Amino acid sequence: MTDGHDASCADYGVTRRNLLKSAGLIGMAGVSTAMFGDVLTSTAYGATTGNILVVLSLRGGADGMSMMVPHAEQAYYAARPSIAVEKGRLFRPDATFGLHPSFAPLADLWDSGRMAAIHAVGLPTPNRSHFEAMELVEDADPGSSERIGWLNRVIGCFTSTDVFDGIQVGSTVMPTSLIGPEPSFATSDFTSLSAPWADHATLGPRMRSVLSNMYRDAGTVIGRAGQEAIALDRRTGTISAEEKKGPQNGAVYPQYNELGEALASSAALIRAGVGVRAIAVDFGGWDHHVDISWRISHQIDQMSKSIAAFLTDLGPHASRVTIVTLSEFGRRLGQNGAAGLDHGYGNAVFALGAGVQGGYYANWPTLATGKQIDGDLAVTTDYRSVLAEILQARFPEVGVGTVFPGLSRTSLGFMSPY
Amino acid sequence: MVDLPGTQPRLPEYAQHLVRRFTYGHHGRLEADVLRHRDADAWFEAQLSPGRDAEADATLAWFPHLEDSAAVAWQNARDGVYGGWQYGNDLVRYSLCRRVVATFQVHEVMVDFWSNLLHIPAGEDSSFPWRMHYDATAIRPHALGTYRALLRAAVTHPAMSGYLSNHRNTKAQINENLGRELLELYTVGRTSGYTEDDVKSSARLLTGFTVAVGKDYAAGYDPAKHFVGAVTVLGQRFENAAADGRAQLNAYLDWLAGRPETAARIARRLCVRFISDDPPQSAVDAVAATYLDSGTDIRACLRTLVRHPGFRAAAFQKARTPVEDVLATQRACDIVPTGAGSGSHVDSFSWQCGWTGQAPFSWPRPDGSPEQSDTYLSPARMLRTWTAHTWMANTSSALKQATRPHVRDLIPPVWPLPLEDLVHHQAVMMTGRRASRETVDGAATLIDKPATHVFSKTWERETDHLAWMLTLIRTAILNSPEAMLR
Repeated sequence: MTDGHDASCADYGVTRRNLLKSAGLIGMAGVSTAMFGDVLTSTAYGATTGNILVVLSLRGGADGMSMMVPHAEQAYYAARPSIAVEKGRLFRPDATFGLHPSFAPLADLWDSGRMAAIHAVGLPTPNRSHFEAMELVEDADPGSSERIGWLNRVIGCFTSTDVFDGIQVGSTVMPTSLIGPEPSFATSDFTSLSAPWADHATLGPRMRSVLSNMYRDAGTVIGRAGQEAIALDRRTGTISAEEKKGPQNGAVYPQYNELGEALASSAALIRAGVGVRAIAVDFGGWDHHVDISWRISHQIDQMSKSIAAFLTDLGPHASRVTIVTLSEFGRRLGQNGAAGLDHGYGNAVFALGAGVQGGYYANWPTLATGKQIDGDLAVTTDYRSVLAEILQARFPEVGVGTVFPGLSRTSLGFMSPY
Repeated sequence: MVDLPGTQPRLPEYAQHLVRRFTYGHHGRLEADVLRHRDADAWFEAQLSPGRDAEADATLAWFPHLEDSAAVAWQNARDGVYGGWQYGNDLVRYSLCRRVVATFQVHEVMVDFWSNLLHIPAGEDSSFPWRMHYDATAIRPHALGTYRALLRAAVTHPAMSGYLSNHRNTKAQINENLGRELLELYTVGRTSGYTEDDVKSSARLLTGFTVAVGKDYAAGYDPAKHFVGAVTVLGQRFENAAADGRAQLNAYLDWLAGRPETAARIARRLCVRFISDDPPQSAVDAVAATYLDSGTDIRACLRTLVRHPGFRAAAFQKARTPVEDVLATQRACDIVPTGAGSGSHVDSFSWQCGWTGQAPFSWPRPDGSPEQSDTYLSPARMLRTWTAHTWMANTSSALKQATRPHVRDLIPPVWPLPLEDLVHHQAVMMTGRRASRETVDGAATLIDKPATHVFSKTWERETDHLAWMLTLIRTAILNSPEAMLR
């Protein structure tokens, strides 16, 4: 089914920066800083019950056909003599697909119908460059040269424009999806995110006042970064206090795993109730050119355990949180000389948690010779359609047409209607 | 009133700009070095032909494992004597120490630049035994040479073969990894329009190199694994007829290095690093033209870049990356490492890099850390960099295996001492320029005195009191926006 173009979100044109600009306040000493602070504190509580989107970026090009195995296809086994996942080991198979056995830690989620596996998803045209493909996936606005990521456009649709709307956890480097005019931030965790001497009775306030004055010019890149830092400083105390409590509800994250650590921080952020709406988490290590079998097995195992722990950790908040995985491309159908897979095309996407109607979904193109694209799995579902379906179901205030301009989308029905 | 000595900049604006862009930050010794030359351009020209850098080279002795052969490094890692991550951490700390103390700063900056373009993470499993060798023999000797020679040295190096799976790329079974990144990242780029068949051809030309990854890391070349037969890349035919394909590969690499698409990409990357995140196209074009005319001569490219009006106009348009900020802060505070034992100050500032958002040589993908400086300006990074500045500004805490000037040597020998003059005096010492109005006001606020305050009471002359005043003043200077820009 084709829904055509959705309407833009009504408030997109009235973001905070535009408000400031129209009021002539940008760059005016003191005023914009004060207003900034007011906006932040006044929205901090209002948004605490909103739905939350967690985007898990599987960087490196995760192999969808190892994760959601098309076990009915003889071509799959023929092309991968030593690295195919055997039929007998598949987890929760149906007639067409089966999950990699390392998904077992998500058994409860799958069995309760809250995990959807969607195949043959990807960019509208093949791109086997990691960097370009990831850039395209995260920008999601083909033909536009503006460097504004799709998550940033999502944030732009929320009535609150708050630095806490969009957060990158796990790295302090901003991903493309979050870059743009809306405030957002990137961090490895929520400890030590305060101004110098924050706890000192006299120096703390003096330092904050000095920084506010030095960085008052929001018209410069560094000025804006400084102001957002000062805004962040006011609220990270709550989050780090929540983070120090550790995982709740008996959740156990895998040890020494960066994804587990990032999701534990994210759970604390959500539990702290500061009003976060979108969280981007980077989970690299999927570029399996060599010896894919044991490598991907380990990756899926760590990912499944981390997600299971995250949902447990969230407790009642889990009913607000939807997780979606994204990777820049799938991998080739045929194995290479190193028991690995080079860069391919069509891929599998997973949606988990609130609002998801579990099961296998695909407009499956098959692996028949005539259906492959340059020897790879074809794409029958634009990845933006998958994201649009989640946004429409969970964020009715977000205009899908604004986030994905010009997208003619198809619905797979893996989300419960809002 | 007579000016307090040391409150006026010693270098003209343009020289300050050139130094900020091509060094790891202001330092008194660097300033004196520039002043010994006729002008800033003469200093820059001298920097382009670096001699032996005694102080930088001496820091290698602090990391004895970096001289281990690949076989020994692997043996040590396997036996649990010294892990791959420790080899990686040593290379990180060694590189940071060089950048802090080196006389030939431009060379260190260019080693950094090319290491990021031809990026191999330090301590990575398939390459760590060769990673120091890569730094010493592939990157450093060519950092101010020609890109053609640099590309040959890097692409055929065992560390690169291990990192990008070329050791598993054979005529029997092609592995595209290095063949693709060679086109996409190191030379012509995606916009050149190469096809998937071109990628496979590129990989075929790279077959034959061997590294015993996971065994003893012995590296070599095995003609029996080399694909023989003509291939075509971007319309150019390579006969590839010899069993030993290395001569053909060199010709292929030279051809790639000399392509105009490569020139445009290298030129843009240089301009993004040294001019601005969005450099003028005329500057990119000028550097690309020099690149081609000079036979990929890196020094010629840098000369063209700094002579372009776009360079002169770009002062303070780049933010320091987290690593650049950590290094500039050590240099501003004249903190000099004297060793790198466990728990040393070198460990502290190396840790600060990662904590503020950019652990050196740890970017997880082959495309290197972003050269765009706005990527690093997240609010979390700002808060942590401000905090790290506060630690480094402290004039009295003890440093392990590092020196810093005695407080007595930081205070001007003048009495009474106006606060504003003292702030300018510290700013000139630390950054080579006078403090902004906001910085003076900020220092006064931290001290809780009016900006017009004059230190004149006897107790205000005490070293301990002034040490604390200096800590607050230096915190204001390091945390000002202009100190975070370059």
